[in-house]
Amino acid sequence: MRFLLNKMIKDNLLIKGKKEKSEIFHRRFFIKNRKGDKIISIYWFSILFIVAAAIVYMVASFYGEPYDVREVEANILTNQITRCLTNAGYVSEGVFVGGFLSEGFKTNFRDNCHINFETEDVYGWKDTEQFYVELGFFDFNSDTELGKIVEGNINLKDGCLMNGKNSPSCIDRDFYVIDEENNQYKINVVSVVRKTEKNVQ
Amino acid sequence: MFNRMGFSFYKRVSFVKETMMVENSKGLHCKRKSKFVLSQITKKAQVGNTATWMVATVAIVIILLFSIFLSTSYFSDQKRVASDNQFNQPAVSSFFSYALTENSQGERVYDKIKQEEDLNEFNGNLALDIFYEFYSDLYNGVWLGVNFEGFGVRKNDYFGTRPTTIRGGDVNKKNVPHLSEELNLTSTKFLELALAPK
Repeated sequence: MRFLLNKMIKDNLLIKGKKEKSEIFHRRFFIKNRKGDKIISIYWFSILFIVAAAIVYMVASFYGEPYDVREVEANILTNQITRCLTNAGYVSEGVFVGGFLSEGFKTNFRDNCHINFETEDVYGWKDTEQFYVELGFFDFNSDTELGKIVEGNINLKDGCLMNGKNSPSCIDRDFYVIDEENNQYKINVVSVVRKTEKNVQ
Repeated sequence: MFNRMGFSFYKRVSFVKETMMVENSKGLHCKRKSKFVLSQITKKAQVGNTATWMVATVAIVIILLFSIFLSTSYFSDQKRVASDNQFNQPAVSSFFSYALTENSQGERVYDKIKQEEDLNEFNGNLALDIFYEFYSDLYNGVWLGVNFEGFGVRKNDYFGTRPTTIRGGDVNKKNVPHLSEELNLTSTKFLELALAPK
């Protein structure tokens, strides 16, 4: 087969003469083809790099972004405050005096509830507090306010009205509690955590 | 000679075929296609190939950009750890306080439910005022009532039928509300607060 092919080619070339023969075997014929191959190779490599770069970017954008745990942190803060204010279904001792919020409890709220708003000394967090807590004490039946506790950076509260990744995480919870005299109360706890720099990129 | 010049076997075959095609179509003996016709065909093929790859490149770039947009916009939200699945201490505290609440006759809600094995007007409405008012925005379903072991419908006049979410496969199918706090009434019956997730 191979012999026959060679023979056919040889015959063809012989008949066509020297001019056509030289045309096929001319140096330029091969150089031209090789150039095309090189261009295709460069194209393929560039496509390969584009795809690889896109994959790297996608992976980096997903895994490089930190987990936003501020909502969980705010929830933990709310749970801690609720545990502090209640004891076995009744309101904790010393929270209410004469049907109103105790001034002593209000003043020493952080110590009473074992809460501190300390943060890492990064991004200037030491200068501006990253937490805010607001507690509203109401009569359950009449909704009359019996007292209020505000702790932390009050500027963060405005961020709760905004939507977006960079706004602080806010948790607003109500709960029902009674005292030993069967007086019914509603307590509203608003917990706000900022810490945007570490949780959002 | 062909091999020495780097001419592949495949190219040799195609060259022969090409020559033979010209011979058959024009009825000429051993006459090869002219240089002009060959170059025209080659150029057309090259233009076709180039156009294909240009379109392919645009398609590849569009697909990549779309993937990047998708991964940055949609999947980045997946990094937010929501508090929906977290323990809800305010709801639990409310539940215990509710059970300890006394009616005008000085009877505790817990004792009354234990006695009647259902909600009555006082404790049913109080439960609605507390749990439905406070937690219906957070949860898809809020239910409080008497639950029991075994099969049967858990239903009352105030909260309707107990909400459930199905977890597990076909074999291990289980009905579990997200948050469930219980107080035993008897050995088989209990007062339950069930909060189903959104």
